[in-house]
Amino acid sequence: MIRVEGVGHRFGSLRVLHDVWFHVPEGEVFGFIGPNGAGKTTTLRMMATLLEPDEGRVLLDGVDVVDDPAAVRRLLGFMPDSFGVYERVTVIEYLDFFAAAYDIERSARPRTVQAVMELTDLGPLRDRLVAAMSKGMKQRLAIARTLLHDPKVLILDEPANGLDPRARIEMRDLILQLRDLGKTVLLSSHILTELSDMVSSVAILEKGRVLAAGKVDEIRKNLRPERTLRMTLLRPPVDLNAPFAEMPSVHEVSLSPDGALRLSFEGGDEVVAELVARCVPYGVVRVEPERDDLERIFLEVTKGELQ
Amino acid sequence: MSATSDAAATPGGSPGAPTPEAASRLSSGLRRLMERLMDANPILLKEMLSILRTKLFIRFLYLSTGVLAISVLAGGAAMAAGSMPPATVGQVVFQIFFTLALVVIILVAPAHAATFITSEREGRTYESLLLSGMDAWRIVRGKFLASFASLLLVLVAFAPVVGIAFLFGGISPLHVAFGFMGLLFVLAPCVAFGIALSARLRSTRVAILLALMLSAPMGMFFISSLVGLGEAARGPWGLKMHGPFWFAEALGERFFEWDTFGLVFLLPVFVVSVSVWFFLAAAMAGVRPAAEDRSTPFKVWSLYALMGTLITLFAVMGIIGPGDFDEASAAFGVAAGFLPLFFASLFANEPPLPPRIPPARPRGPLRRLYARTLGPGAAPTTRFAALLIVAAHVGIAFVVIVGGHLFYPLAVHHGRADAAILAFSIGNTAVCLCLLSFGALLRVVLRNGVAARVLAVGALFGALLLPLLITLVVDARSFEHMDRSVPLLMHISPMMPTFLAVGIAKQGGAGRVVEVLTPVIIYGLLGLLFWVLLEQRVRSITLKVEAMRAHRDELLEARRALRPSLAPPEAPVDLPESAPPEAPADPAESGA
Ligand SMILES: Nc1ncnc2c1ncn2[C@@H]1O[C@H](COP(=O)(O)OP(=O)(O)O)[C@@H](O)[C@H]1O
Ligand SMILES: [Mg+2]
Repeated sequence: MIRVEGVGHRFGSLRVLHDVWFHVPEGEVFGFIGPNGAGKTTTLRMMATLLEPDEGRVLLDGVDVVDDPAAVRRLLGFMPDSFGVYERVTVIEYLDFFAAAYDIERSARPRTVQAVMELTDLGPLRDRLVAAMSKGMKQRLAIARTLLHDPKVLILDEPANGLDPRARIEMRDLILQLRDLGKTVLLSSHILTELSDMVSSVAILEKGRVLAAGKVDEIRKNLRPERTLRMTLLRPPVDLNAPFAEMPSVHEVSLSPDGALRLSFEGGDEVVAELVARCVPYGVVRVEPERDDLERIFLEVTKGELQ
Repeated sequence: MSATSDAAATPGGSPGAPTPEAASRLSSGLRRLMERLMDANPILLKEMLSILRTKLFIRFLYLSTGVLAISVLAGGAAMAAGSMPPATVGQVVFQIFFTLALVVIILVAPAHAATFITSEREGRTYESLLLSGMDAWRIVRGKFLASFASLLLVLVAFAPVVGIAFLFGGISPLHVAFGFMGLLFVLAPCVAFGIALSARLRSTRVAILLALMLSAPMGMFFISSLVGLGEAARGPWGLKMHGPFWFAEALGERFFEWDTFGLVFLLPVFVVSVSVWFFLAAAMAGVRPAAEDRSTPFKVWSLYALMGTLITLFAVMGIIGPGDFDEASAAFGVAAGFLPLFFASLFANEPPLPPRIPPARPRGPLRRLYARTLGPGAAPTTRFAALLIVAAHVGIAFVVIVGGHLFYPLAVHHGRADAAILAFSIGNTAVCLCLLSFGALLRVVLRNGVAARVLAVGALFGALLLPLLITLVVDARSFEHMDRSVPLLMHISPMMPTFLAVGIAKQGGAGRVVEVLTPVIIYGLLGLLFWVLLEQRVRSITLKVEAMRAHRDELLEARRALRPSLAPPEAPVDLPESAPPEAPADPAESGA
């Protein structure tokens, strides 16, 4: 859906992007990860026709964003990382304004605005003055605005930035809902945990270079064939390695701060079954795959760069 | 949920027999048009909603009305205490009221309007506005109307204060109506000027400051010249009032006299509309990114400005009277010649490449023809401006000659009047064309609009001053009989056509028209040279850019084929190291 091909950019003499290359498949939630200043916003602004790449090209649904910005703007909804909203209008006036700006026919506008408000749970706030809304509500209002013209692609720059945990969860639910509606969603973030349970593919950017891009599973497999499991036991053994003697597929056993066992191993599900069986005498309470896969990938990928 | 209008994107009805389909398309088109007309501009609506919810605005309304009322009352009372007859007091109070309102408008309107677009930029709402696909004209129109409407509210709040004047008498409701019309005539260009500033600048504070700095002296100049004009009109038209709002009395008393109607109503209507239009075109150019078509609004405007100026010139020919119509017609013709000079500098600011955005693929054969031959981009725009300059001079000569013969058939000096305007328009055409193509060439070569303009104007002044200074040093006395024979070196001055025209009109000697050949040859040949260079340069830049893009696309396709996955491909091994042709002038980024 979105192809970023060999994009380079400089601000004055500062080179902020080097040969950035990745591809966002249709219908996915795609994570664009990188520390602050990596160049995420710059890349996203290019996709949104707000900035022209110095090198390379960006294609949205096959259309070069430089050649036909108008067509691209119809295809996409973009929420910038720091945006403004008109303060002295109400929610419904705000959305009505943009519905008219998007040139939606007057007769269709109330229906469109209503549908978008329902999707984003803004219905109860329809007559609230925007100035009186919280950051999370404004964020939702901004997303609602980008949905008015029913774009195929949504580009959200740091959508969870500055939100409280509750608003974050609501944001995640909204994004998953949008994916289920068939939209391609591209999210950027510098906080990995907030993406890990939403995205299926990622691109990792650092200092303007893509360090890895692709399906999360694939990247992980490429990086480290081993898997990690967390097992909570009722009575952990004194010698952590004892239960797993003579299992060459187990690489490392350690104790997490919360008392759970952390097992790294290689192999398929039969190894998992064996591991669990061996631990039964110690009282298996819970078995779970390691949560922060993305974080590990990120650390793994960026290590070389940082050293 | 989606109701994006496809109707707007599809081309209008195809020519041919009216099939039922075409008829239904026409009717749906009509319905859309009706809907458009009924549907207020969204920006206007939004701005009015926000303004009416702004406490500051409401306070300003109360405060300014209060101050105005007190000043007018105090002025009236002070005079009434003297020995002035009540009717005169009423008239003075009338003038005080309107002058104060005028000052408020001149000071407040540009500064108020100047915040309208910069505030979107500073509030970070501007990008979402652009991304919504709203076109520049809709944005600019909405902002203009909103600012205009809110200042109109101020005037409406002021209106009751004028009742004080009625207490004393001496004025009629008609005067008041024309007074308010005058205020609106000033308000419109003030607001448009502020919007143009706002579209060009980033910072609200700078915009307000600049608006105030420019509007205060301009306003002072405007008001004092208004007073002067009033004093001039007082005698012949038998007016009673002093002060800048004399025209309200003139219009109220003699609206149907053709000279009053033309000079105090029609001419101001033209001046107001032409300046509002110009500022709005400038605002559109500021709203549009550099890679879009910025010149077409100016082109449409220039046609209107030219038509209006020619009509005005024709009317003026009728007014000057048979006495010294030969000299006067030359003077007014020369004055009208400033318009093509302005065109020349206005249109010499185009980036080399035509914009990529909509007009790059215009709909309809006529628009395509326009885009290719006279549309945006340095080469087509220079062609357009050249045609315009020629048309302007032909028009000026035609109007002056025809007007002279038509209005003053019995005058004796037709020969010298005709020769004078001919000499001027032929010579000035060459000068304007030279300035145009020189400026356009500089713009394309330097890739910087401001620098190109400064250099072009500098060169013009150089050409003006150099012959003048040398002549002054060498033979200062030769200026004494300038009207009979222009000093030799001054023949190469860009002012030569003007000197010649004035000389011929004063002293006769229609044969001297041939002297205009010197500037025509010099500036004409130079202009032609610059023009050819410009066309060449534009063509080479276009080719280079196309080659570069093709090269880039080829390289990217090859790399994509190397590894068709989500991940970035390895750096190309067997491909030539990416070495694009030397980057040409970037047309998009270097705009003024
Ligand atoms: N308009 C600009 N002018 C100059 N430098 C900029 C501009 N925008 C961003 N940068 C620089 O580009 C780099 C990348 O910025 P950005 O894309 O905003 O990173 P991210 O969104 O990943 O935090 C930063 O070093 C930033 O300072
Ligand atoms: Mg950012």
